Amino acid sequence: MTDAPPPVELKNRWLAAFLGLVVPGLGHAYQGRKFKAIVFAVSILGIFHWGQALAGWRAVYLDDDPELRRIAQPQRLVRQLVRGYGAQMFNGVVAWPAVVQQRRNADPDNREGRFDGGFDGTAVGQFQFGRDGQLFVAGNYRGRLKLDVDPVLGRPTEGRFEGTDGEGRPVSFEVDEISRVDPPIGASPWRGIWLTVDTDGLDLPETELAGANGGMFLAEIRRPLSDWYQVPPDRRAKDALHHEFGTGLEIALVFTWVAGFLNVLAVWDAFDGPAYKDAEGRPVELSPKEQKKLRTEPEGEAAS
Amino acid sequence: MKFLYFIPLAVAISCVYCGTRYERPAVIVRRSAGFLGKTLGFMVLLYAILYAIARLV
Repeated sequence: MTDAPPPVELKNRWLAAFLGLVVPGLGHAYQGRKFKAIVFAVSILGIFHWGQALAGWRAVYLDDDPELRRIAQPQRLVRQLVRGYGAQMFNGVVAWPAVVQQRRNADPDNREGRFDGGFDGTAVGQFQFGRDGQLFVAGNYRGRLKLDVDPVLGRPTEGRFEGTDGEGRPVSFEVDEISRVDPPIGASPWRGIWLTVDTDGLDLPETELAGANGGMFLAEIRRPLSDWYQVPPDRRAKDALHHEFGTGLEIALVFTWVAGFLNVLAVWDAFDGPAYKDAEGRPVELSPKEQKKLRTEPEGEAAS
Repeated sequence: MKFLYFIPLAVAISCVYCGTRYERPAVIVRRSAGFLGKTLGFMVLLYAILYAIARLV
């Protein structure tokens, strides 16, 4: 056994614990315990972000189920934390946007049908159309969607899609009306937008839309990262997550939870030093079980 | 093969757990390796038992 090193210099332990809570390993970096800082930061943030990646970066959120909103505080907060975020929040600042996103998501202004300003960007989707009294669906439409929206009426003053259909054939049409649009803030990177298209004027004899009379373009447009990252999913989005990732979602959640619990250990280490230390606070290299064994061994030898 | 994901998870748990118990880097690394070996050994044993039960039933 080597000589015990001097007690660990914890500096301001409260500040170290706070820094460790904000960013895993930062408290140890402040204390000059660089090796531990690197080990904790890489391990905890690595597991957290890997878990996030396994679930399409949608494993961390503060639950906002409509049923929860009927429960008064503080019981509502307890239920929200028990549903997973109670462990995830200890990952520090990387998990805290979920609190802001939950509030933004619950804002009454974040409602279906709201579509501020125009849009000019990539859209993907399906085309539903009627022909000869039957409904057809043609998928994999991809291209540029341009919408100019009247801010008062919320209807497109001008809208046009130019792209290709599932077979790679060029398709373009004018948008007649926005029929439905998902809320601006949601748990998915994609925002659904249903556009009514007057197919009577379409001249597309080579595509599936030939002879269509009336159609709906079910498009999806990209949400900015700030409008979907760590936003709580509604029930439909939760079902979609399970469908998309299967058991990978459970694994992802476990990873983010474990990472949070590990940071609790790391924060305590920043606050109080290593768990195994002697009465003077000097770290020791033996576990309590090994120390006890070492103490009893000479007695056993003496007895024999 | 998703169960292989738990190997890096076990590595992280071993490193952080031992990192909070000991102070010297050499001790942390040695203890973490031992902890990881025991954990993976236990998981292999558990998997073998479950596999054997599944074959028998």
